[in-house]
Amino acid sequence: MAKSKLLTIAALTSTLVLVACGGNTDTSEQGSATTTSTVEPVDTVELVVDDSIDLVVEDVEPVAVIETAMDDMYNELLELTLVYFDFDKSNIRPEFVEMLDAHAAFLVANPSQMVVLEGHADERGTREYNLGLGELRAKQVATFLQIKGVSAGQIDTVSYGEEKPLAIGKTEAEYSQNRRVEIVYK
Amino acid sequence: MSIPNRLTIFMSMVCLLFPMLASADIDIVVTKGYDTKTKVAIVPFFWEGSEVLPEKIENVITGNLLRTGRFEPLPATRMLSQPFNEEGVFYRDWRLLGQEFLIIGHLTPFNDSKIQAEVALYDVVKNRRVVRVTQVIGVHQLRDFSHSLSDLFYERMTGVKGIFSTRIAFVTRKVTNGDQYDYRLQIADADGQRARTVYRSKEPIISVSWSDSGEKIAFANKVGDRWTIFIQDLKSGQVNSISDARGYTSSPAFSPDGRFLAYVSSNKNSPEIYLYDFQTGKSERITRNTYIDTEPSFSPDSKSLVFTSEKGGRPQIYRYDLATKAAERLTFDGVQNLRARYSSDGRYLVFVHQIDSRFHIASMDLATRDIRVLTETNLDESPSIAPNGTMLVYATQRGNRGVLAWVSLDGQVTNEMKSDFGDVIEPAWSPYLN
Repeated sequence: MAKSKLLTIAALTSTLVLVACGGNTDTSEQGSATTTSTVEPVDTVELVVDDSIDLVVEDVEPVAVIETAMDDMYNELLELTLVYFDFDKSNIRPEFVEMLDAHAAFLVANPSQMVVLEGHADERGTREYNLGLGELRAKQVATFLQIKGVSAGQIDTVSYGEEKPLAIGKTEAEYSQNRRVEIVYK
Repeated sequence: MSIPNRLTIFMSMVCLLFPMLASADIDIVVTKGYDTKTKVAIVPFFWEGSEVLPEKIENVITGNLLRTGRFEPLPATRMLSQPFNEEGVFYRDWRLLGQEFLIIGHLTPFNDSKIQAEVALYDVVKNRRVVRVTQVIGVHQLRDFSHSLSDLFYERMTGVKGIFSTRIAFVTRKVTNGDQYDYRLQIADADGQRARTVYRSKEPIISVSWSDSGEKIAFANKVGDRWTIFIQDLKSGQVNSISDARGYTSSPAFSPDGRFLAYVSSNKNSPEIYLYDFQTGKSERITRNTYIDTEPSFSPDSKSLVFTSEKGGRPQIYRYDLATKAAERLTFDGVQNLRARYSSDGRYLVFVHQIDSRFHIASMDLATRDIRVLTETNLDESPSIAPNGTMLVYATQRGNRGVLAWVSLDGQVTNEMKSDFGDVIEPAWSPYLN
């Protein structure tokens, strides 16, 4: 539980940093509106003058401390690159949300980083249907990352269908390993 | 209807000139057959020449008839005589041996190291010659000649046109070193012999489809991070391709009238079915939802197509009418039903049918909607019907190895084809050629 809380902060931080560096109009307007109601008019003027510089410094500083503390866990989550799926399903199971959050945070923090999501299926069913299934799985992960703020331009998807199994065998143990999306950084 | 699908069709001058690369040598083993078989005596042909011929015509004919599961050839050792001309044929002898038909042949050397062949089929029960063939052939034509004779004799004995001169296309997959694969699209005689490679790739090749004339073959190949459809002209070697900027393109299927290529693209998100019009060079999108729609295949009259859709929750087979643009669900029995193909008379569909956790090949009579399971193996896929509608070829597994198998449409015959070239997958039976 503590783990996921920390992670949420990390993701949030990255988003804020990106907003501050990249665009800022929405955030600064909101910021000044809030400030006006509680602080002296003189302060508001100062804030407007300094604008984004103040925002970045104030928000990032406290969070940056936490970030160092959880660097290890964040990196551990980033090393997990396989998302598994149920038979004939493409929805993301809850246990993979945390790890995908970490990847989303990483991609948001590194907007020039490209990622390829490779979708796979087990061998049951036809090759073409499994090609479609692998594609839907990869796109489901892509949508998840985009909802978390990753730019569509950073993501590409490719389906392998049933053509590249991780495990060879005919039991659920092997099949479950083959129903997957692999996160590959390029 | 706007078509934002960014379709790229380009002519590639890369002529894949039928490289006669190493090909799959394939054995077919008959594992099960009809209960009552037609008894036919195929007498070893008499060859008057001195050198040994590369093919024995009678052996090729015997193999062809055996694989249909409908014939029981008489072993040569049990024959009372081995005639090679009409004077030597005594119907009574053959009737005593319980035979219904007799085939004899006489080969003599001809000019330019050619062969004059005289071959005849007799109806032993009716005491008469059914047909006689006299023809001069080259030594290299012995196998083609044998298949033509098989077609003729099969048709005269059963009333059904033979399919021994047709071809079967399939993909072989072999591990080269470690995790590297060698995929080959091959075309072989209907008996699996004389396979030759027409396309090679280190990435998967799937969904092989013939044009109705047999002149073109379409398939999908993963090229980098994109699946691309290739349409190869088998005569000129010219290749066209279809691919999209995003997603994959695959599952090509020619319309029998030659006007359209149905295919699947996931360019717009979920896999959807498109029709490429060879006349206008444009594509039209047919399905529109967030589910998988795939595996289109045309009816023989080109007026409708069947496809697989999971819009009902699990993949089932639907039929789309090109004129009314309406889709109707055809399958309701079984957990899943996928990848349907029409029989050439349009009366049946064959498809992959899941019962419990097993995947079999099944057929459906379109008039009654009755489903009949044809195979007992598991993980069966890619059913493809012979142009005379008597049997179909499909892909299945033995151990962890992909093999091809045959079954008759009444579910009685099973032949199996192994390759020494790794897995054999994605078979596609050609239409009648010539």
